[in-house]
Amino acid sequence: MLLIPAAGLLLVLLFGCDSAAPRAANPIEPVEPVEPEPSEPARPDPGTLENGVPYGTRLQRLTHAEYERTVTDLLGVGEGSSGEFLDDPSFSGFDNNADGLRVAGRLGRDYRRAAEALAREVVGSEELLARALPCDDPSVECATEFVTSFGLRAFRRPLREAEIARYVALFAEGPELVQSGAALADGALLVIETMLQSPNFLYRGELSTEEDGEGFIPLNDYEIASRLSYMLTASMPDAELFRAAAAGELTTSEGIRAQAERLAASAAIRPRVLDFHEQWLDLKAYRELSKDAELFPDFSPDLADDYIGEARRFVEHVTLDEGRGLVSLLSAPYGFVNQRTAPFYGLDVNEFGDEFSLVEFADKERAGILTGLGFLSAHAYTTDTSPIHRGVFVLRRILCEAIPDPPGGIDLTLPETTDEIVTTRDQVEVHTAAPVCATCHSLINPIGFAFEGFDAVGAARDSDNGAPLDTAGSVELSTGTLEFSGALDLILQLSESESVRGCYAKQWLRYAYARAEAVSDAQTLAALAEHLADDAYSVRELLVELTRPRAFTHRAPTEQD
Amino acid sequence: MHRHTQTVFGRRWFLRGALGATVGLPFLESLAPRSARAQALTPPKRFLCFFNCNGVNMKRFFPSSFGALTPESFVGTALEPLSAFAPRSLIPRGIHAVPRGYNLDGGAGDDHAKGMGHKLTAQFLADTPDEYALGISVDQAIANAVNPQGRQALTLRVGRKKDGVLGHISYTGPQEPVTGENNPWLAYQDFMGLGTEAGESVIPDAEALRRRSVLDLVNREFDDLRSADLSRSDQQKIEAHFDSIRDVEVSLAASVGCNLGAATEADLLAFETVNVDSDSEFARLTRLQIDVIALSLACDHTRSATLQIGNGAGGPIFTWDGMHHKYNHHKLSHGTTLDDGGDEVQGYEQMLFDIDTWHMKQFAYLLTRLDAYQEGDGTSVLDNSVIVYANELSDGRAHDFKDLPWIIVGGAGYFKQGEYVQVTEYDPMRGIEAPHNKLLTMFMNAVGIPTTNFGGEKSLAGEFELLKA
Repeated sequence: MLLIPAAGLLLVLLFGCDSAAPRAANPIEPVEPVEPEPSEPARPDPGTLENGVPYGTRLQRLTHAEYERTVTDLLGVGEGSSGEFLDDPSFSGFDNNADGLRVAGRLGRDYRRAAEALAREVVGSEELLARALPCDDPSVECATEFVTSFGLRAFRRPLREAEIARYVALFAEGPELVQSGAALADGALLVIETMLQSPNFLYRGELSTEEDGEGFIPLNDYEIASRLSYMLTASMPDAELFRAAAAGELTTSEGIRAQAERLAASAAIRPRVLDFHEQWLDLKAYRELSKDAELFPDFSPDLADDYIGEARRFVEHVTLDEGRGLVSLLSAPYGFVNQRTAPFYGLDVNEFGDEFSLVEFADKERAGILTGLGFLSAHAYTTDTSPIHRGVFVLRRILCEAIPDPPGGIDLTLPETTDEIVTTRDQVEVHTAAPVCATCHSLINPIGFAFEGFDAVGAARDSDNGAPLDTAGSVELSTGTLEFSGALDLILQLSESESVRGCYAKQWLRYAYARAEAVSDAQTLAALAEHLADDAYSVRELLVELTRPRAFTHRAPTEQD
Repeated sequence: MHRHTQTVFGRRWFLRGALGATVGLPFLESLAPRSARAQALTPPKRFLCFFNCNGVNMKRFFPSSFGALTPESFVGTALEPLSAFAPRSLIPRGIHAVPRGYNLDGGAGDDHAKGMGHKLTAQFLADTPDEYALGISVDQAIANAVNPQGRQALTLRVGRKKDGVLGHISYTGPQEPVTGENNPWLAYQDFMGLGTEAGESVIPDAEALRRRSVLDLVNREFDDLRSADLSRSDQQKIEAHFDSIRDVEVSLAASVGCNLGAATEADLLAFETVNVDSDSEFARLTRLQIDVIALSLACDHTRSATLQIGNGAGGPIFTWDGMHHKYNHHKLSHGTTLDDGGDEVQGYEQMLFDIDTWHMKQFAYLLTRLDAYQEGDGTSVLDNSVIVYANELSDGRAHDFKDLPWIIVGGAGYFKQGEYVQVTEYDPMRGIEAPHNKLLTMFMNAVGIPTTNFGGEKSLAGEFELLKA
């Protein structure tokens, strides 16, 4: 974690401010602090305890993507159903942070619209209706059977007696409220559209309350089933998970492990694994690029799909097809190319088709995700590269270094090229030479310069503005110094770096647990980081490992405030 | 027991309109009064912020001299489209943002982030990758206090969704940003209580009854959750969720006659939601959002609203209304071909002036709509509202937080009218003397919520006496 207090002060002086004390004539009125009523003695924050569990929400709303998968699995229909939902603001780089997911404003009505449309679609189709109903007459017995079995799947737990009674009563109002003439369909429509608007459907509620002897609350079988299914497959539990929950297997570590391994070995984890990497590596930045048409005639903004495609294909191949780990993600010497991207790789267009083919790169040419066209192009300008953007990306996302944004009021324009300032490296070095810039730029610049062997569209080059390249550099991290001759050298060292392993583990924890990491996660993160040193440690094993800590199987007691 | 917002203005205000409104404006039937008492109420006060990004061309925005404003005052400036409203406008100069930019007050975020996040909250930003503001925004605070049913403020936007602080201006609480709705058809459908069948102007009674049954059951499920021992944050989550679906409680007979008319409704329906993010729809979307937001204020669906046009450090490439730009708003605000660097764009200052003028045409359109709705006591909705033009920055090139552009129209009887005022010449680089949070405080007071100091640590108590009526 970098701190730049000195830089802030220097900046104030740079702008010629003559006073650091702002409040000459108008003192700020103090706000009366409100002291809470003291009640019980304060408990230690469980998020600070070793192998503890931080405070957190007990109502985790489904993300829009999870909503779509869930209704599709539940009803047999639902693709595109979340398309018009009010956008969620993203938090901490991942869109599934549970604290940030709320229902407010128009979203409640969006859910209503979707629920009504989906329910209509189900009762309008013989096939879909038969899928939802266990029986086919509008009697109280059948209604009860339907509410019980459908409700179990919709709420992802058995319904209580009172809940069953409510929904059976609602079912009976079908003929009066829907009036289609078919009592069974009417009752089913009402039940389905209401359950889809229920907080029991829209949130994964963790409502267990009994504390164990150590001050934590073990989750019950169904709560664990939902955690497993959403963490691994972004959807509701499947039949086998429901069976295991009903049999009480998910309150034992063996039972959890068995289910986790089953799911992790299946194709069902593919969406989550790809989505994690897509968000971690910010693949959406590959859209809407624009490059100078004269300098880069092969480029078009439509290439965005190919950039994203090659990155996803690479991640999929490494992590799922080959079962390799972080080392390969960063430094495997191959990539995926098609006829549209071939020119940028210096390859013959005629040897490729529309689909991606695996290409082995010649020695030391390219390796891993950081030499993909998308990363190199997205962090570059229309005509030139941007070592600063590339450096900041690697520091923030691969190394988890907290690099702040540039200070305010700074002119971000690089100096013009001259006889002395020839290459992009020259321009950046001149512009960031001031000592106040060094705290951050001594880290940013060398890493960015390492990639100068690739131009603004990701093609390899050996000169810049007629001058030879200088891609060598070194950076001092908290875990040691990285010294490198260029991109491939840097990439190899990153793939072996303790900091990088720790960062990848932390990013996965944030995504898998839908929250920021806490002090109590330290042991889990350290164990993962150690495993990741072995390239054979695949993402499947990592996901299973994340089901083992107490933070997965228990929750913290409710925060009193 | 769930929170039920008791407000001074508890009763819903129903619009009484003149028969046969003028061409181009919605036709308002005279509503049958619900009771004799309803007619005796005075119209509620409303608040609306029309928010632009990336600053303005400061050299050609303002009138040339301080003092009384007449329609001639705006000629030759970007404000010219507002000329008809000059006598009802108040333009203060010299007000700066708090917390201040240029790292003077510290805090997270670069100057674009601060420009967006501080503007309606006057709070610092969180030290996280998203940098969301650390407090409630004035529009939501107003909504909490005065909106029918405690409904959230209406938050609309035009333009691509942008993550993080640069894409949001409205907050229901610390780090609780509200993403603006960018679909005018859904917003309209929502508060009109329209049926799900396209073109239905009122929900059939059967559908309304069905929805009430559904809501009753769901509310009992919320009650189960309310009685669980949830944290305060989870309790708030439930209440916000419930508020989001309580609209069915309102008798829908009130909506009859309060609509945009068949022609605009057809436009809304025809709107291509698939292109809602593209620049080609930007102008049309702005107009439709203005139609919807003005109606929602007039029909008392909400008394607080914001319309965010574009994003901080973003914005469309303007290719309409005589403009044929090649670079987007942010780049032009720097006068460069790239977002951080590149070559100078020839004639960028004229381009910015054209952009500012176009935005003022939209602002004028909004004011015209609001002024056309008669409250039945001789006043218009505009008379009873505080309609505010605000911008993320003043001079976009310098990311300047000082001497921000503000235009306050309508004034609701609280603000002076028809004046261009120098509030102060004090240099904000030296200290905090004319902080914009005082304006936020005045907005609260103007709509009837007694407030002495709206904002956070760097806010100052009090108001700008020079601006008061």
